[in-house]
Amino acid sequence: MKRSSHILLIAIVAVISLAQYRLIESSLASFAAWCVLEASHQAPFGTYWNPALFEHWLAGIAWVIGALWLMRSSFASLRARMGRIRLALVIPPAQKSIRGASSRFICMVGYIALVSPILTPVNPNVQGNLVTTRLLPPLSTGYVREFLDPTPSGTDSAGRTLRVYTAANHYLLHRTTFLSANIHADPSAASVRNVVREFPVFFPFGTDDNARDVFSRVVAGTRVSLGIGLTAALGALIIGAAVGFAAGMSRGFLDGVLMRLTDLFLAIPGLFLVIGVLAFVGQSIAMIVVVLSFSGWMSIARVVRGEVLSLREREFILAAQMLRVSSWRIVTRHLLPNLRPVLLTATVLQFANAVLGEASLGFLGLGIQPPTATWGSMMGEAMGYLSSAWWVGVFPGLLLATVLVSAHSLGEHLASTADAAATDQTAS
Amino acid sequence: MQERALALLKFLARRVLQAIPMLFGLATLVFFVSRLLPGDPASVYISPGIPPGVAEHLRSQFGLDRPLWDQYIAWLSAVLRGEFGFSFAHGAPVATVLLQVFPNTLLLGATAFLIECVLAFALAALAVRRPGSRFDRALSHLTLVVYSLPSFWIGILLLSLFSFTLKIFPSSQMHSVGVEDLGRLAAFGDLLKHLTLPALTVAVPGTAVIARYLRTSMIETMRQEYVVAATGMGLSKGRVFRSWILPNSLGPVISVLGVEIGVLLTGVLVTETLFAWPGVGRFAVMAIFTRDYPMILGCTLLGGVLVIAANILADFIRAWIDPRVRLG
Amino acid sequence: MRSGVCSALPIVLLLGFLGCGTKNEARPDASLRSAVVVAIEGDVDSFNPLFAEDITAGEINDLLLPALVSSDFDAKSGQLNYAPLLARSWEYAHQHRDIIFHLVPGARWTDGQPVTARDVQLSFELYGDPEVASVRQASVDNLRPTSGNQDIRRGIEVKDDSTVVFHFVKAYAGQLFDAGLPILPAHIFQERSRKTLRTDPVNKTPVGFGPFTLSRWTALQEIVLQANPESVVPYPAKLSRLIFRVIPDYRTRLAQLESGEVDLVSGLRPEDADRIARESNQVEIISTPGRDYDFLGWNNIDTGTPAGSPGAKPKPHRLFGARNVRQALTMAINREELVHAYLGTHGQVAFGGISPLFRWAYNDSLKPLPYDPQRARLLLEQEGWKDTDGDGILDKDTMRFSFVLKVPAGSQLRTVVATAVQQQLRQIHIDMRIEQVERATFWQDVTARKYDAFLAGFSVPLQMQLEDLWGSDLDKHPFNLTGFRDARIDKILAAAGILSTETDGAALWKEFQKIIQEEQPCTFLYWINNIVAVNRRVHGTHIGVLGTNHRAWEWHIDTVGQAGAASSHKPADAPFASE
Repeated sequence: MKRSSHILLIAIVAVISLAQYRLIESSLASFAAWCVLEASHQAPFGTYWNPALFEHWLAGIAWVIGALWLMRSSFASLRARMGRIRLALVIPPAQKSIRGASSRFICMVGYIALVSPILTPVNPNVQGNLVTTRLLPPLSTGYVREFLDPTPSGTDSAGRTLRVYTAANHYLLHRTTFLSANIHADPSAASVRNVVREFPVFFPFGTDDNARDVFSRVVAGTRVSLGIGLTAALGALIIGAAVGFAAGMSRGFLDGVLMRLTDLFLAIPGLFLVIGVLAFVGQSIAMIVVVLSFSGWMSIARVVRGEVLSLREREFILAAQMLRVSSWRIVTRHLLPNLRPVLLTATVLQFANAVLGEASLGFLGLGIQPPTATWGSMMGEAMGYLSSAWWVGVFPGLLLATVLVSAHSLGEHLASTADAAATDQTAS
Repeated sequence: MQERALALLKFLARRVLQAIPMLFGLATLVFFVSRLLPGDPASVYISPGIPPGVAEHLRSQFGLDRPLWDQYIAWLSAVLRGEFGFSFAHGAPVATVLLQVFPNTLLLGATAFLIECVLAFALAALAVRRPGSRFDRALSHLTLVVYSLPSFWIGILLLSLFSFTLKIFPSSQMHSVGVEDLGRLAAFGDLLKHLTLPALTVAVPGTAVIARYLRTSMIETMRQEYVVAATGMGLSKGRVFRSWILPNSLGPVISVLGVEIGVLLTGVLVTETLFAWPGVGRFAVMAIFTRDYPMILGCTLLGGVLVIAANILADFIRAWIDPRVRLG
Repeated sequence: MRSGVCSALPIVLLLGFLGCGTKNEARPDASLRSAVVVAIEGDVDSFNPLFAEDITAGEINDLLLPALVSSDFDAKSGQLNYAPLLARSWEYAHQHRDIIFHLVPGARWTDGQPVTARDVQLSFELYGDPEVASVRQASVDNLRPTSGNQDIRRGIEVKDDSTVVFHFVKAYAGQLFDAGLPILPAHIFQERSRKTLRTDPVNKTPVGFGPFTLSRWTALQEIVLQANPESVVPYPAKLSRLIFRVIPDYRTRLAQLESGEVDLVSGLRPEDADRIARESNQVEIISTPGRDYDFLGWNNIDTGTPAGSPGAKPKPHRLFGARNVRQALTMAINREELVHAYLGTHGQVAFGGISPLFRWAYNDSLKPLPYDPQRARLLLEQEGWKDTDGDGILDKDTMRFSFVLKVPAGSQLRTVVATAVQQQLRQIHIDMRIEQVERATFWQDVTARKYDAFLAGFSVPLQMQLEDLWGSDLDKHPFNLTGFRDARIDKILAAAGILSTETDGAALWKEFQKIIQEEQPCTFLYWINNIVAVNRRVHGTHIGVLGTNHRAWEWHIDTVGQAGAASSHKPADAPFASE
């Protein structure tokens, strides 16, 4: 990493840390107080647990770790500049290859997903004044007024830790924001009481039809979209690989049954499946992931089966069989490593499929429900005004494309490393 | 060799025979699942101003008040008579309604498939000339970018560029207004123009997938000893490509092509609505939303037949060109 | 490499050929200039008015099979006026309970048969026959002396070939409205089995006598109407052809309108309407208010637990049973802002449940409840709703103010508005979760009262028909969706039902709106205008409350000779036309 970009990164982190100071502090305080409360055994374990806090704790901790890491590595690079050792583990050696960049990018997106509550300048679900702040183009500016009702009374008698805990949670969960392009001319802004702070805000990606900050939504959507995409892709991969592998290895009757089953699933119209399942079982993130996994495993199964069928006729497998190598060893040492490139390609594509599938579900109104931001739902929402307000959908689209390209380069890199390893092992 | 041909034929016959219970299973599954959906065809007629009796009456007219098994048997016997039941929304036998528009869907799908194959093949062949070259990497990334676009976006982009802005291609339907006044050749040209954008919209995502698989498969093949040996023997690059790389790398891709037909059909669904193409897809979507059970079943069976046939064909071709594939 | 180029070549050639091929044929030939092309979103469902549910289908059927009378909406009085169509004149008898219609002489069906009083009689018989199960069955209810099926034959008496008498069971305001159904050919329909009429192939080849005839119907593509040169009801259409093109995609409809490929598009979005009005001098925008509204339905009654005996009074809903709560909800929603942001000048805040179209009945003295979140909080506090556990959501006796709003999927405006409402309710500490439901499922759930709250839209019929929506007998009126029951409302509905002149009910309806405003059984959001864009070369249109293609036989195209006359054909019922 170049020194200048390093300094820039530190500056960004410092600025955000200052701007979100109270949020970070509350997150950490909340977590610390929770630990103390649960450890003191005054109440049964889990009394103070609130799932809504978890993301804040995670974000706060991840943020601090990230900042520390950054500081440490910058000292390290300083030392390196002075001719000392370089912490190769912490900062990968400066590779100007796409692979280095893409792995770094993937790590960054993953990190963004973790710390998204801190990175979003405004709450991604908060809408501004609909008349003045709706569909603003990128690089517009606006004003944020953050307000918070007074902490509920009745906690004075409680212990000090509990008070800290309550106050921190109150800030984390109950602060609301008022957003407007022109707050001083906004009559409804005057009605807002208990203002915590006010600051100008910048909409780098513009605002959407509900006058929400697209940048914040893209950042917040990272977590949901990556989560859904990865889980559904893995689900499809597991089902598909299992079915394909079983079919390819067994041949004969089981092969026929499994492959006809695959064909049957391919022939069921996706729309029908989705409406049927979601109308019957009800909508939830878990169900959506299941539906997406179940509509995507068929192509993986077919590819895997084909690959297995052709691999097992290959010389090295035949040779291994002749040498009476155990079939478990053949499978794990020779078949699976050779399947890796195909599986990686299929998984990356399946990831894209799942994210887009979530978008088309949203298009039917059956996806993740508003106001939760996901890349897919943002792209779906944008469909209505692709020509008049392109920014609503283009930014999540760009991010998705970049993630896919990076994930794939990384996958290829890993595959080629794995391939080399596999070849070594086969040779030895 | 003759033995192999016989085995191939037996393979084909067995798969076709297997397809019959599969279709039966598909139809049965869809029949009962569609009845599980909330609402029924008469729910279209539930609105203020229409007496509730109308919906009741319609239910008995459509036979929806009879026991489910009874309806199922009635529908099966209709299928055996080749009628596929009576569409509630269209007031006509399902077979008649579908046959009216099926050729349009077939035209769109086949054209798109052709474009997909040709384009993907060309791109992959260019890419593997020098694996890892700038073109190869750019192509690899481009296909991913294209793949990560929702298909309606591709359609809208093509529409805005070629139709709304450049005004090269018409934006909707199969014919211009007043096509009946044109000559036969001009009418054909008119059809081709209307076909271009929808076919491209359907073809683009598929092209990306097939090109990727083809490239991966070609590179795999190029690592094989026989290819290395052939190159080492001093044969020309083109010769090696045509005689060794190409035939050996097509196998896995042909399987993918079979699957792609299903994906293609889904793409046709979206595209038909966007480009006002009068095809089966629009009937299918309408049927699902209005709970037109016989129509849902008709469309599903039609799609099922296409997908299954494509997969049988893909497996057959794969077995045919690649003797390593066992027909067990 | 070589193989790659070889395979790419045909595509390049193909594209090149197509690209070149387009230039020589710019626009369809001159004969089409005399045709008007209307873009429609979906195909029509039936060419038989007995079964046509689709709005465009209804409008087309009116052009093929005219009714006895034609109607026009008088925006000043807010009432329908009737003019002769198939009936050349009519008179009342028997204390206004009978209407005697005299038919236009010389009208002939397109197959050569004369149009007679017998056609009128059979048509209404079919509309009323439960075997046929027509969607317009309710219009015939007042022509049935008893509830017997064959009574319509007596209710509509054929005096002679050109005279028919309608015997209504009572004198009421909507008599001519109910008599205004399209007339079907008796000589074709009398032999058909009524039970299977819905699926009869005869519905696809309509025989009419109107100003247009159906020349071609290509499923999912287009409907071509042709002027009927023989028509005397009222006269052959001025256009030689009227073409309806099915274009499901909104953007494409708009683009084709701007390029001149289609002449008329309805259902424009406000922002597009404003842009076209600004930019285009070829296209006129006509924005008609008052037919459609969206509202938030609160479930007034507890439908989760069984009511006990069938006649028992249902318990109030745990959240929305109290009037104060419903008022607070309305006051927490900034409807002005919603209208301003999403509808601009093409909508207005709704309240009271009666369309501003009905000027005589609309209560001008009422104002919509203001946006006042502070007052909303106070009202909720009065009802005992406070945030006692500090979780940011109001609660009362361990019950959280948290509910699910069902929204029919597929409408962008409704999704956006639901999201906005969600955020606004969050400000007064109410937790509303949105659940988009596929349309058929949505109506199934809502009519079965399986919901807490929903967002939906209704269209207003042109006759004041509010009993279906507000009658207290929930078994008889399943479309009283909120389950709101009020004795005062029932009294008003009963009193208004027996008036012979519609406007006599003005005072009753104003009271009605006051009660609805007080009780807020649902939160009316806004009236949405229907925005129609029409190419200025089309003249003589009557786009407005009665639809887009109303009286399309008067449409004509701007040619040199007609240009002057055309300007006098201002849309009579569209005073709201924004120029």
